[in-house]
Amino acid sequence: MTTATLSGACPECETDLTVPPVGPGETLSCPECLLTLRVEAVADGVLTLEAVEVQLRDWGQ
Amino acid sequence: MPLRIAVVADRIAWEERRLIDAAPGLGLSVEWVNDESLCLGAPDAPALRDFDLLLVRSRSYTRGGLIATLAEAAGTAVLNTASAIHACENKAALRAALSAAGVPVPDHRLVLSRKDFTRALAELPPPAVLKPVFGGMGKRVTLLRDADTAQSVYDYIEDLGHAFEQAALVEPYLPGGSVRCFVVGRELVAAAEFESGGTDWRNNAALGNRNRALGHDPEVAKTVDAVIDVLGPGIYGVDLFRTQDGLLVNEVNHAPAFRAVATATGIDVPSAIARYAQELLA
Ligand SMILES: [Zn+2]
Repeated sequence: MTTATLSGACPECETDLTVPPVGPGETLSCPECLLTLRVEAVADGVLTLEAVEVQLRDWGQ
Repeated sequence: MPLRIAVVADRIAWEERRLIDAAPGLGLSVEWVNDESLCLGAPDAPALRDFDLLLVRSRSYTRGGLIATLAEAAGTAVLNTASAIHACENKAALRAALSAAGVPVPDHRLVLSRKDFTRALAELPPPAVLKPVFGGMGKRVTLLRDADTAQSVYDYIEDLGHAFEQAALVEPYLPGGSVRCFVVGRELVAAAEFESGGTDWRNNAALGNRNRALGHDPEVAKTVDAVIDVLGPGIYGVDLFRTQDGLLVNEVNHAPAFRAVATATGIDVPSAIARYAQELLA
């Protein structure tokens, strides 16, 4: 299950990304378009990413 | 078979990462579940079928209470309980509940209009603090040092889009510093003294201020105990103000961050949460 790095592509700008191990739910920032991307799934070292808001309007906790 | 815990949140932050990493060594399986994907309401709650316990870590103050309520209705164990989350997410309701139980809270006035605001400041003159009833992370909490600027500040409140965002409290500014307590179950696992750093007067862990560990303090322990008597056991960040007349309960966070308090005290928070989860389901 341990992979040195994981790869994926930014769903917005399609930049190829190589990142240290991360798991579902964690976020990273696309170095190209700076959007915050959330890891939806990891399969065979490949990330499925989704762009999410940096801050939700009703974050209170 | 390890206990299966779902961490319900819109994303995994530092705190949830620590829990997930520590889980295998603690006999737990901890998995992130997107709080936007549960679609609760069906009697058997299919999205929850694989879990023994839901740990509600939604930072959204809309989602946490709703998810906890429907998960409990489907028969799933939830931390914190829906009633505790509902009590904590509304600062005015929480203070009313604590007051009714004899737990000291800061004097405050509910402000729903400019008329309320003017009267609140007449009764609790500046320096005073204006803060939203719903919300946290220190956001929009405003120190009103003098009456001159207060009405202009209220202009911004009036411009907010929704009535629930406009609902605010006015309270006296209490300069005595604050104590952040981290509670698991009924146990006060860590406490840290916070002082605001830099140019931001606000004393909130989310804003990254200096803090130091606090040793056993009987008054803190007693106050926290009284809060838990009202809310029931759970995982809480209890924020206290120090005043000349003793400690006051400012607010209680139902999905508390613990990075600052864990760093200041060296307490292993994931282990404390794991032990409590196991105890709860035993
Ligand atoms: Zn991008």
